[in-house]
Amino acid sequence: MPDPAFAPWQLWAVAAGGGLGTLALRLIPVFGQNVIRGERTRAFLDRAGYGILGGIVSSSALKAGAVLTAGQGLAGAGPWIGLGCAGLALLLALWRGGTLLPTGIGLAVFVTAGLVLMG
Amino acid sequence: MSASPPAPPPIGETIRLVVRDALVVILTFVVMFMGVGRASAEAGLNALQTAFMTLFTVAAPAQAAAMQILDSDTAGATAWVAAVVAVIIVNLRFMVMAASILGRLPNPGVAKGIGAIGLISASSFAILLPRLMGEAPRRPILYCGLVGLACSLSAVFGAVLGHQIATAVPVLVGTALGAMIPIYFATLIARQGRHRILMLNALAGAVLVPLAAPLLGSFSLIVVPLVVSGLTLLIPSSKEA
Repeated sequence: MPDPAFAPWQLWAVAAGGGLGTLALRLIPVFGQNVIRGERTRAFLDRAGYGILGGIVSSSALKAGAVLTAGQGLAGAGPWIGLGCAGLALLLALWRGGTLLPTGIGLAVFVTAGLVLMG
Repeated sequence: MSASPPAPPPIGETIRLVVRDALVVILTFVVMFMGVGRASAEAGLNALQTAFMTLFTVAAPAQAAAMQILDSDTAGATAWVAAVVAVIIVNLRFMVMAASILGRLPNPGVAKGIGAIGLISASSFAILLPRLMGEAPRRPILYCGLVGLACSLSAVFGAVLGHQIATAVPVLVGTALGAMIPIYFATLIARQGRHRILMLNALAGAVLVPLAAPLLGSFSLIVVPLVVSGLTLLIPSSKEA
């Protein structure tokens, strides 16, 4: 391990500040529960939550797929492969239900693409 | 005299549901956070600092961003402040997630509310919201708390393991594990397939968040879904649950 460039208290400040700061962010809504109990507010938060989920899925699928073709001529295709596998799993889950089988099929397609592209 | 209230359902039932719903994320977290642990070691954090930060942060992108700032060749004396701020900014989305889950719990109060969502992460949120909106557990507060705790502890285990052994996972294995999260989350979104307005928001988030990222950075994951949600509230719907 390299010599740390920061004093121990600074590293503890990062660990505690990042950890406890994130904890504080989560707790803000706990103290405003009356505000978030309205039907319209709940609908707003549910919809925003699903928007965030969609954003997480596409962003992380694009990032994971990009690794498949990094440094190759097909560099632009990798993110679409990742996105396609997530889309395939979504469609299978919508069609047949369940989570594990669609996840397994989507992952199998992704790994197969990886074996072909990464060798 | 009124009849005595029914006995609460057994805890084992909730634990089994937690294991069933969260197992994929728990296993994936162990490997995914090994990379966070390795980055933490390279930035100079010891194992205890890594475990502490991971326990409460439970956010690989935020922690990776902080470690990159600390480990940068151009890091100055105040880089540790920038690292903390980066974690907070990247994790602002947790406020919306926590509020969404709390709105689905039966009046938890402050103490139980903290227990339910105190360790919520993007991954545990993806498990909790579809479950609470579908066939909700009979002990929802305990369920939420245990999912968050299980995900957090597996992240800590992975981070400390990565910090200690710092071994390289084969590239394809690491990449496949990275892909497992979005693929699994996509199937969780599908649980609400019958709610077209929720699917519309998920689709809009999937399309617009990456497009807005170059402009908004980490804020795209919170700003875009909030704006889209507000706009879709203007759409009258008689079928929305």
